[in-house]
Amino acid sequence: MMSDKLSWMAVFASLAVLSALGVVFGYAPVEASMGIVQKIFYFHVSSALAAYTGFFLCCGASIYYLLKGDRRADVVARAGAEVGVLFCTFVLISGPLWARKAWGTWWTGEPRLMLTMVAALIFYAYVVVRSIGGRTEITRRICAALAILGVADIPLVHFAVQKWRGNHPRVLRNGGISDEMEVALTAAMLAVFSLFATLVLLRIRVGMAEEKVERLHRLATARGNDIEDRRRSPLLENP
Amino acid sequence: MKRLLCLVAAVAVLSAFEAAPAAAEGSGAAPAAYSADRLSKEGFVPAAPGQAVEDSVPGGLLMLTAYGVLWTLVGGYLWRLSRRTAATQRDLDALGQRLDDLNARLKQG
Amino acid sequence: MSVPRRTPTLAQQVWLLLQKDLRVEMRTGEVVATSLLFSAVLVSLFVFAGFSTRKAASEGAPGLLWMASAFVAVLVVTRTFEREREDGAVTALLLIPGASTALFFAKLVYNWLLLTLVQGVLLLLVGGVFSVDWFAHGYAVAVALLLGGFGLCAVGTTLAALLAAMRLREVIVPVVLFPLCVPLLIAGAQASVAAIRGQNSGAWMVTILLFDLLFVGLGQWLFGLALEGAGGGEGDSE
Repeated sequence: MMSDKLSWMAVFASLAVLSALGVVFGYAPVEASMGIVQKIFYFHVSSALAAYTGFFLCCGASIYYLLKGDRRADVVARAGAEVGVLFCTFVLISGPLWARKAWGTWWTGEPRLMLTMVAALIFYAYVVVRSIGGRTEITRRICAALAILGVADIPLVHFAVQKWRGNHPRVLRNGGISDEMEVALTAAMLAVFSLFATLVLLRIRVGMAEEKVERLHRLATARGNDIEDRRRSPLLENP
Repeated sequence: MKRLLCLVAAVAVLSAFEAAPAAAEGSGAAPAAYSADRLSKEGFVPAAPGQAVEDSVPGGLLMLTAYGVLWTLVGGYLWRLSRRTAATQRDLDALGQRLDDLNARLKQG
Repeated sequence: MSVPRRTPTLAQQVWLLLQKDLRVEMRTGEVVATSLLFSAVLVSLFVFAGFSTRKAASEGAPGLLWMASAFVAVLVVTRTFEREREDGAVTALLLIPGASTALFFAKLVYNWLLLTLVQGVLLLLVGGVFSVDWFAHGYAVAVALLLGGFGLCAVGTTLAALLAAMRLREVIVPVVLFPLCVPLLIAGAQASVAAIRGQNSGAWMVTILLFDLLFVGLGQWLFGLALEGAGGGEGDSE
């Protein structure tokens, strides 16, 4: 079923994930005041980046689809949105789990948390519209438009929530991270992004196969009608 | 399939809240002061070897839940994709059968 | 009346389409009446839910005002194409050359006028129930409502056009509209809070204005695409 390239990709992703887990739990030190819960951080941050990558991929492919009408771009957009939503869900669940220990509360009105929440809501709506609308041209256009509106909204939401309030630990920008932790973060990034790429490519493959089947269905129906017509009126010449 | 994903997410969220009462009992009135201290601080500090790490909230459980959620989500998505692939394959087989029939009839007629 | 030879300008087209909708609305008064009633019910719900007895009402009132605006906006925009859909007039309107831009602005301004009317009443209701004097510190709240209402309608009109042929439209429009309007709601509520406290709300106004510009631009583009799709392939929807 799977082509060689994609299965190699999957093997690589699995190895990357396993070794990242090894580095995170075996090599990186336990954080002094938060304890072991800080180990969420490595996959949390990488997944957030992967989620936004998925959303931007979806937006780019959607613009291309609206301009050129290429169905393959639509398949790519759908893959980006679905995998993005997957990682975004993880970020939204692991964030509060970490915050419970680190900040003493499940949820704070923290800018990046709120931004991710809004982005997730928009793309959840995207996925829901996809499934309600079915495989029609109008649904494809609606979803492309939603992706564009949603991604265009992200900078504005970011600006508004930043201006409103802010207290996320700015770990990466201030260099407040030890060398071992940095190695673990790099490993987690590599793992999450190879997992992301594998899932997106797999989803694209499935989507392309579905497109192909649909095209063949139309072909078969047209041919069937053709034969029926000829059988009913033998005088009709072959076109 | 969407329903399945929602279900998985719901179970994950519920299990996270399941852990909440236990966590709350352990910490008592600490959270407010604790969070204020935390908020003013930037960066992570590695614990010295052998240093006892304060553990008023069961961090290990929270962390295990988080990683459990990640692998459940990925596994659920893969399962869903495999279902879709199987459905597409069935479609394709039916279609091939139908095209063969049509071709046979074309030759006859 | 003589028929003009040349194609009317965009402004003329917008005005003609707007007149048509306003005339229908003035004859029936359906949307205005139901929206006003809805906003009265909404404010009374806030009262019964216990918001008006809180000490912090002057902080909460702007938030409620903007939330109510968002709810009313949904009510107004989901009906944007109701009449056209009933008698299949969207395709006819699109036969006019360059009509999609004119149609977008006509519908946008029409929705905005209705929303502004209801927002005016909401301002009085919320101000009365929560004892807030909106105009004690100038007209910043009114300006924010006008600008913010325009943004709400820009997104809402676009979504109404996009989702016109969609099943479960009434649920999906708010589900998409509210997250998209989060920056607008934050900026609007904060601008109002600042105005009540007598502080400068300029930065929030700029945010609202940016939102308006972005979504009028994008909306105008996507509106055309959506209607082309609806006009071309009405059969394949649902």
